[in-house]
Amino acid sequence: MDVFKGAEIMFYWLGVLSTVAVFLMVYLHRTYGFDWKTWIMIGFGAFLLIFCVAWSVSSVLEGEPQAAALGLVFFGAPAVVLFLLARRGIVKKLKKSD
Amino acid sequence: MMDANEEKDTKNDKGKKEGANAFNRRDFIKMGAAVTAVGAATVTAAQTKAVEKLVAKHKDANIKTTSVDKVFEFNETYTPFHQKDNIFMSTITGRLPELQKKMMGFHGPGDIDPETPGMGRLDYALKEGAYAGVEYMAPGTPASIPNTGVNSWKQKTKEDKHHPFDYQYLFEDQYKFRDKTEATNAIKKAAKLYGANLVGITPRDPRFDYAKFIDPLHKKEFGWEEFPFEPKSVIVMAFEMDYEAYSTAPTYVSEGGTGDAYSRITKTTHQLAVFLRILGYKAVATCNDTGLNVPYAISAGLGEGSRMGLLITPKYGPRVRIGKIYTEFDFCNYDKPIEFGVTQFCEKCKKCADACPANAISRDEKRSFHPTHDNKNKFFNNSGAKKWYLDAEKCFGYWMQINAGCGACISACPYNKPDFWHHRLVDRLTAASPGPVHDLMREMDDIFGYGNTHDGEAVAKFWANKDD
Ligand code: SF4
Ligand code: SF4
Repeated sequence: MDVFKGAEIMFYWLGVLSTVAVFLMVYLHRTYGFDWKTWIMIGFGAFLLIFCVAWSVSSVLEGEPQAAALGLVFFGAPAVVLFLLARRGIVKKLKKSD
Repeated sequence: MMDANEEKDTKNDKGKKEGANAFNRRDFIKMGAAVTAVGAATVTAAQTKAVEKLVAKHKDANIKTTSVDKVFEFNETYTPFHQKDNIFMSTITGRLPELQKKMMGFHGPGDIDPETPGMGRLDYALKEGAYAGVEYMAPGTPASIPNTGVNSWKQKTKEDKHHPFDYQYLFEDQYKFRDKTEATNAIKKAAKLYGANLVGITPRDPRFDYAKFIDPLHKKEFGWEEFPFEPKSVIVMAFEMDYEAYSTAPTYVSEGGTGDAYSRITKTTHQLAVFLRILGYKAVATCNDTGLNVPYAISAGLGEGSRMGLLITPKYGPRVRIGKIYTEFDFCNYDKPIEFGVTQFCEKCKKCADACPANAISRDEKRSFHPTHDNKNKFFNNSGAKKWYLDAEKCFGYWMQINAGCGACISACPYNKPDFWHHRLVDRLTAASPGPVHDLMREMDDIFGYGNTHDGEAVAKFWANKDD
């Protein structure tokens, strides 16, 4: 029996992913202490990453592979860049405090 | 001093306590995991609910209701259209002889072309099967012929029963609804049950009705005096056409999407007409006949008009066909026209005009009261209404050339998307954005690979996709 359809399963996992992302951000903040710039980069990066997953999975479900691939490029790549920038900031801060 | 039994009990207690502590520690982790999972699921459920609410809220956020007077602009030259002047009738009756010549060989199995994707025997069979419903129940109605088959204007009475158990006639007494809201809901509920995807109700407006009619099969011309009652309301219904079938346009497969919608229209409008007659109200089911579908659908709040001349709905874009009921019933709440930025977007977009193989769609930035295309002086232009005018002769000529209904403009339109959240989000963002963003959105639509036409792969994809 089809209890869930593709989009519903996707929204379920997006919920799980969002929850994990929030827990992870709080954990990392407690461990490394984010400043406001890092918060913006990590927060926006997480949003873009989740949006990227949602967009690309939805595009696959509707049978538009080109839209799915472009979704990864347009939303996934900036998310990775933001995470890398945030990581660089944290590493710098840790080096300073050493 | 403790005796042996006491000592044993104490040991047992201690053991129990240790066991309990051990249980607590182990279970604490398990419980923690469970609570986290439940928490996550709760948060997930809450988030899903919140997202659903947000989507539902924003789904209509940029849809504004307006009035018939604001949405339609006519100048003094406008007169209601005569059915004999539309492109189908003027071709059939030989007023456009070139097209008529081409039409003679149209729609036959001789057109099957196994070499062209979407035009083979399988695709042809799909198309003909799709049209089977309307061809059997109300032949000619997609080509605007009124008063045929189940769309007959005759209001069957008790005396006209087909057999002793035929109770589908006009009841003599009229059912009284408690109030207009109950009546409106009941009609819309019935329409949806019978298969309509969108329903709106609007007052009858003679400007949108054909002024006169012809029946080319019986070589007859007639007017509203033959209509069996004075219609007061028009119930307008939109029917979605299959997205995958339409992504193959122009082929027999996409025409299968069209034909199937027409068959569903015929079934649903006939059922709704019977529903109204049993409630004691006269009703006539119509397809592309009797009145103009697009202005009636706009008036009934189903969507906006567009550059390509078709209705664009918020949910299905232009990928709909329209059916309607004329009825004497008027104890209902009428719907109002809606606006969600289509006109402004069309001014910039022109994607349908680019996709049109016949060059039939206007490229003018703004709408006008008169056609500006090469055939602007011909009789089939219903001038005087502010809109983008389609060159119907070029459009229909292309249909004759490829031996199939085209619909490439529908496939190409950025509003033609499956009903997925991300498209609705983009639609809403577009509607809320100024002009330059519209250019960007149109480009992004191309980059993301939407709206391809003449796409042989789409045909293979249509037949390959399992639909379970
Ligand atoms: S149906 Fe085809 S030929 Fe007609 S306007 Fe649309 S794209 Fe052009
Ligand atoms: S393709 Fe563009 S211009 Fe044409 S109807 Fe659709 S939105 Fe309007």
